[in-house]
Order: sequence, then structure tokens, then C-alpha cells
Amino acid sequence: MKFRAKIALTIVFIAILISIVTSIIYYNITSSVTEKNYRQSIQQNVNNQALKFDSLMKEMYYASIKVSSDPELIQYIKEQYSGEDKLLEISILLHSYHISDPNIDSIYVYLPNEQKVVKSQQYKAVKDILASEDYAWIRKITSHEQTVKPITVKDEIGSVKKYIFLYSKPVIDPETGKILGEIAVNMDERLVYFSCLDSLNNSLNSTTEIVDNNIIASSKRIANLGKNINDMPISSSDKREEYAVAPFTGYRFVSTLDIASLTKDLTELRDLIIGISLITMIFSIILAFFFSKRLYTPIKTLKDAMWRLSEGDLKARADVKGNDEMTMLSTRFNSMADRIEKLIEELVTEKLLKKEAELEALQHQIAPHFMYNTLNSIKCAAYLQNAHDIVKLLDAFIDLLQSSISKKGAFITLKDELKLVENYVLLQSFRHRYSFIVDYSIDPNTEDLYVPRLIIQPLVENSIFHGLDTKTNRNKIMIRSYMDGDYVIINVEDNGKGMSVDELETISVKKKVKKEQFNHIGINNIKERISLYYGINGGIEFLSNSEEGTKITIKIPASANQEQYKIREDEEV
Amino acid sequence: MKRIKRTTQIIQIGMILFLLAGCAPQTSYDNNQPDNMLNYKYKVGVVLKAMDSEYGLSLKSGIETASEEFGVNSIIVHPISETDVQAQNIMINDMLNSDVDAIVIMPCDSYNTEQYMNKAKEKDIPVFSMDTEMYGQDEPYIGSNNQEIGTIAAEYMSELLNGKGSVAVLAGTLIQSPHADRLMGFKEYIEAETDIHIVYEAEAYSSFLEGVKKTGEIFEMYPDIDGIFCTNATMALGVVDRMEFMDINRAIPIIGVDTQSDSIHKILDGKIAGMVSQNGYDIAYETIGAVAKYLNGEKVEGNIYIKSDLITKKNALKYLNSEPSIKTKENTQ
Repeated sequence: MKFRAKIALTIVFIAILISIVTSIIYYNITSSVTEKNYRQSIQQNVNNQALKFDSLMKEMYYASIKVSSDPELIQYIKEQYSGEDKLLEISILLHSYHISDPNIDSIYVYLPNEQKVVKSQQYKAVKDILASEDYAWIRKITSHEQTVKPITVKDEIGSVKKYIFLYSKPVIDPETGKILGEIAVNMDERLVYFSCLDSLNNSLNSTTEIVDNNIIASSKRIANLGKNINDMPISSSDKREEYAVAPFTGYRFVSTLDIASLTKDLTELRDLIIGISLITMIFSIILAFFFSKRLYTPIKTLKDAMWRLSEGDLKARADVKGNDEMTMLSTRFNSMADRIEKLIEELVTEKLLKKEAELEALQHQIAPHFMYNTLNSIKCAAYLQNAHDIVKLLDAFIDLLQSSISKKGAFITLKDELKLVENYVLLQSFRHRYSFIVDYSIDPNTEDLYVPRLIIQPLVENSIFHGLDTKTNRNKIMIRSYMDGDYVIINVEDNGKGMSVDELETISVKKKVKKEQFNHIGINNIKERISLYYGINGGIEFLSNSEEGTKITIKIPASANQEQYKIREDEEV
Repeated sequence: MKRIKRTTQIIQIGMILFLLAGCAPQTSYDNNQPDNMLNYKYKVGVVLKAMDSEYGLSLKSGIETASEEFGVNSIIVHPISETDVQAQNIMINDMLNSDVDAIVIMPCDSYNTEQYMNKAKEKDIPVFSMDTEMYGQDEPYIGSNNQEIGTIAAEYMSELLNGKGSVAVLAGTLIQSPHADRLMGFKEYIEAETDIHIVYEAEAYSSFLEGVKKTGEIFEMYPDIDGIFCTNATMALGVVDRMEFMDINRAIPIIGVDTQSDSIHKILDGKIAGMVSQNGYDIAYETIGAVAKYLNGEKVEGNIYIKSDLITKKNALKYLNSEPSIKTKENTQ
């Protein structure tokens, strides 16, 4: 995975995590606390209203006992049954009870002997009951058991048909124990609703109904009264729960809670938070992408530069911008690459130079074979004519040529090198009419040590060409070799006219000169070869003045191994 | 390596946060169901005599406290006055029809209990009498030992009168066991142990007004009366009121019954000599406790008597300050 992608993903992951976790925790805690408080609040209120309902009903209950056992009422009924008309008196008595308690809607007395109901209202105070089955209350008189609980019926006796809570009590003659009639103390369902339920329904986002045996006894909606609460539909988000049973009457308080609307604000808030976090997330991704790109660019540049360098592109460099750690790394990389390039360049140059030097040495050796053949033919002719001196000279010349162009390695023994010098000297003596002598002083310990080929001959050649004073015969060239510790010292000294400063400079300066000055090439060649083969371990020194001639000293490490200072593996041995 | 460690840390933090999120709904919901009126174990009908005295209110307070404590739904009803036997009978009858697990009755009439007691047996509803016993029934009774109350009052009266003189007695309605028993205990001690004569004896129906009326009668008939014993506090207060009205300043010891703050104040004022304690709160509390015990299957045998003591000027303050019924009443209202 790319570094950039990792940074982006990490940031995005954290952003998602934080926002989601925060909103979930917030929503869960708050909604559960809210719901709990809400339920507690409903519970508290419903409990209070249930107690209020009970105390309303208890008053009614007491009133019903009081009315049913009122001696005056009993007396009136007995008189009525005995033929007197006491209906008005009964109604007035009921009315006095009625007005004593504002919660009482009406009071009825049912006189079964006369099939009449006397009411506490003055309007239409007496109702004739033609068929007792037509009236819910009267139907219930015979069947229902006397308890402390009211009954709920639709009032069919009053002028207005409405639902009422009523306590029905028999009127018993205390002397005979006979039931004279039945009274009913009625309370309007609306009064119950507005006393006990209205405040609940208005304040708590819930609907509470009073239920008896699943039949709705009091409700906000009159149309629901008398119906089974389980038949009443509720919306899926609502919850219907029973919160209280009124302890005295046993009526149940059932609330329908609108949980969804309770947590609506919270749900919106949660959605908002999630929405905001999604937007934040998108922004984070964009920002992360942008920033990681900025962070990544120098890394990529450096990476690419490293890749190119490792593939051999020595010119590969990283762009440097800014002032941070990546910049430092890039700068360091660049300087490292610079050094590598420089080192490699030096190495290549050195190799090229060595190659060139060898080529020059080879050029020096150029001597086509036909020259031998020609020389051998001349030698035969000289032999036939008994020119033995010429034969001798030709022998030396051929030897010299042969060893000059020999391909047997860059290194030969000092002995072989001296042999070569001797042949060369013989030829030159002939040419210069024996005007010089060569003196050899060779340490036998040095004879078998290896030296670069053609290292002494050019020096001798230099002494003959520059140092010989043709006017005298006392010209002398001395070649000496000896050990100096681990080094071999070779001296070539003449007593000739010496070299001028210009000439010294010419041979000292490393210069690529053409063949017209063959001998100069020889000296330069020696110098370069010593430097190439031995580095600082080898050296050549010129000492010259007009009076005393020239002295050249070569100092090289003693080596009995032909290949010790060999430069190339493919160099022929 | 470092990066792996960092990743692990992030994952750990994430897991902790998720765990927290997961825990939240579990810890904050469902464990604290609010008080409601659905989880009562038993429904107990309580029919009292009346609610017209401090004693009646302290009974109610004791019932309510104990009901909450024992998980009982106590339905309390009572007639307007304790003479209203017929209304109480209707209420007892209605209560027996109202699916109660047990019924506590403080009868207005200790004698005529047969009708509802038979009904209770028929319906297999256990009956407990509180404060007032039922004669001829074997129901468990929880209340004072009223004969002993009469004896305590008699002993104190004898002590105050040095064992001689004439006294009057005002009793509550004698169809109620406490008054009958107190009267009996008082009379038995006075007659057997002292030279005191009970010259006047009347029912004042536990009423203040009757107390007032009868006091007038007593002083009319026996102006030299030495002491008056009332079988409850309300009547004693009536006596004091009348005596103040008649401007009788002679030291006539008046002894009453019940732990009731208004009469204890009169002890401190020196108007009443002493009261025999009867703590309504304790009686009611013990009663509901006994009912709950019984309904839980434990055995409740015989009667449970709540101890009575003599309250005089010396210890009156203690009763006034520590009376639990008053405190609890204040708390519950």
C-alpha cells in the first residue's frame, strides 16, 4: 500500500470512528434517559390521577350509602307504596343531596313496585319504566354484586344520553329487611375525564384512558366509550401500556405513548451528527489526499532518483525544495551521487590512460617481420662475402628488433633488458665509430628481478644522442644496478655535454608528442609507465649539467614475479 | 513494528468506545421501574369506624405506611360517624364483594357481626379486627388490652384521690369492645382495691359534644365529684372544655385514653391529669403487618396487644415529641 493511501485511510478511519461512536453514544444515552424520565413522569402523573379518581369515586360511594340509608327517603318510599303521592318529596330530597356535592351529576331512585324512576333533576323528575330491560342500569340491579366499585353505563333515563359512572345501592327497610328500591348516584364521564385525564393528555404527549375489564370507561374521544380497548387501533410507533390500577375502584389506567415523537428531536440530532460526520469525512478524504500528495511528492522524487541511479544513470539527481527532513535527505543523496560520479569518472580516465600508454609502447615495438627476413638475407649475403663484422652487426640488430617487438609481456628480467641494451650499444658503436664505451656495473642480485620492458634502452639511446661528444673518444656511458632495501636502483650516467634546461623540461613534462622525436617519446614513455605500474612506489630522476653530463636514476620496487605489477588480466605473458 | 503497535492502539481505543456505546442502553434503562400501582401483592379491605379524630388519622397513617412497606393495597373506607353501624355494615358487605384477599374491620358494633362474618367465611376471606374486638368471634384482634387500660386508669385515679372519694365515668358507645372493656377494667379495680365510689356512669358515644353535655349533667348532679374517667380522649377534651366554661377551678383529676397531641397539651397545661396511651399508628402498622404475614402463609395466632402506658405531666413531652403517627402523617401529606 502506498504511503499516501495509508495516511489518508488512517485519517478517514479515525474520523468515521469518532463521529459514529459519538453519535451512537449520545443518542443511546440521551434517548434512554429521556424515555426513562418520560415514563417516570407519566407514571407519577397517572398515579396521582388514579388516586384522584379513587377519591372522587369514594365520595360518590359514601354519598350512595348515605342516600340509600336515609330514613327520610325510606319513609317517603314506604308512604308512596302505601298509596300517598310522595314523588315530589322524594325528588326534592334527592335534589338536596345532588346540590350538596358538585361532582354528582344526578341521583335516581328506582321504585320497582310502581315501575318509576324518580330523578334529582326538577325537569321531568319522574320517568315511567315500561320495560325494565331497556335500561342498562335497571338491568344490572338484579345481576350485579354490591362492591366498592362503580359501574359504567350509558344513561338512558336522563334527558341527555351520556356515559356515567354510577353507584347503585338498594334501599332497605331497616325494620323488615325488605328491599324497597334502588338508588343510583351518578357522575358524568366528562367530569371524570376533565378531572382526571385531561391534564395527562394535554401535557405528556400521551393518551390515557380509564378502562374496566378492557372496556373504555373514560376517554378523550367520546366515540371510544363502551368499546374494547384492544379493538382500538394504535399506530406502529405508539406503545400502549398500563400504568396504574386505581387501588380503591380497581379501574385501570392505560396510556398510549408516542415514543417516536418523544425521540424525534433526538433522532433528528443523531441524523444531523451522522450527516455532518459524513461531510467531514469527505472533506477529510480530500484534505488527506491533498496533504499526503504534498508530503509524498519529495519522497517520490527521491525514490525515482535513487531508482535511476541504481539503474546506472549517474546523472540522476533529486529536486530539492523546501526546508524539511526530506530536503536534507535529497541534498545528501545528491552529494553522494556527485561523489560516486566523480570517482567513477576518475577510474575510467585512469584506465584509458593506461591503455594509451600500452598502445604507445606497442607502437614503439612496431617492426614488421619482413624486416627480419630482409635483414637475414643481407646477413647471408654478408656471410658469403666473408664480411664477418657485418654479420655480427646484423645479428645484434636482429636480436634487438626481435626483443623490441616481442610480445612476451610487459615485464622482463633485468638480465634480458641488459642483453637488449648490449645489442643496441653494439649497433650504435658501429654507427658512431666506436666513439664511446659502455660500462656495466650490475649487482647479480638484481639480474633476475623483473623490470618493465625497454626501460633502460631509451635512456642509453638518450645518452648516445644527446650526451656524446663526437670530438673525443673518452665518451663513456655507465649502467649500474643495485639493491636499495626493497627497491632496485638503476643508473644510466654519461659524461657527455649534458642537457639544457629546455631539453630537460621537454622530457620532464608529460606530453603527448608525435613520432618525429622518437627518443623523447622513449623517455616520456618510461616516466609514464613507471608511474602507471608502480604509482608513488616508482620514480625517475634526471640530473644533468653541461660539464658533467647526464645522470638518470630509476627507482622501482624489487619484484621476482613477472605478474606482480601487471595491469590487465588479458595482458599476454 | 512501531506501526503495528500504533494500529493495535487505535483498534483498542475503537473497541473500548464501541463497548461503551454498547453498554449505554443496558445500564441506563429498565433497571429502575418507577413506583406504580400494579405490583401490589395483596388487596386488603380496611373498614374503619370513623375518621373524625386524631386517633383515626393516626390509624390511617399507620395503615398507609405499613401497606407500602409490606406491598399491600389497602382500601380504606369508613362511615361518617362511629355510631353509623348500618353504613359500616353496607361497606363491609361491599368490601367482601370486592375481591379482597383479607379484610380488617374496626367494628362500630362489637356484638352484631354475625352476618358479615358468615359471609366472609363463605367467601373464605380472613377477617382481622383492629382496635375493637368482635364478641363471640375468633378473629385475630390487634390493639390495646383495653381491660388493662381501665386498670391503669383506675390505679392512677386511686393514687391521685388517695383511695377514696367519688368519681364519674364517661364511656364511648358500649357496643364497642374498647369502651366496654376499659369501663370493666376501671370498675373492677376501683371496686376491689379502693374506697372510691363510681357515682355516675354514662355513654357519651366518644363524642366531644356528648362529653360537654354529660359534664354539665355530672356537675349538676354531683357538684362535689372528685374525679372523672373518660374512655377516650375526645370525651376528656369535652369535659375540660365544659369545666373551663363553668369556671370550675377545683383540682379534679380527669383521666382519658389515647395518645393524642391535643389532650397531651392539656396534660402539660394541667387540665388533664393523665392519659393512658393508645398509639393508633402502632396498632394500625402492626395490624397490616400481621395481615401480610398471614397472607404470606405464616401463622398468626391469637390476639396481638399493643402495650399501653400512663402519660402524665412528667413524661408528656416525650410522647408529644416522639409520637410516630404525627411525624409520619406530616411526611405523607
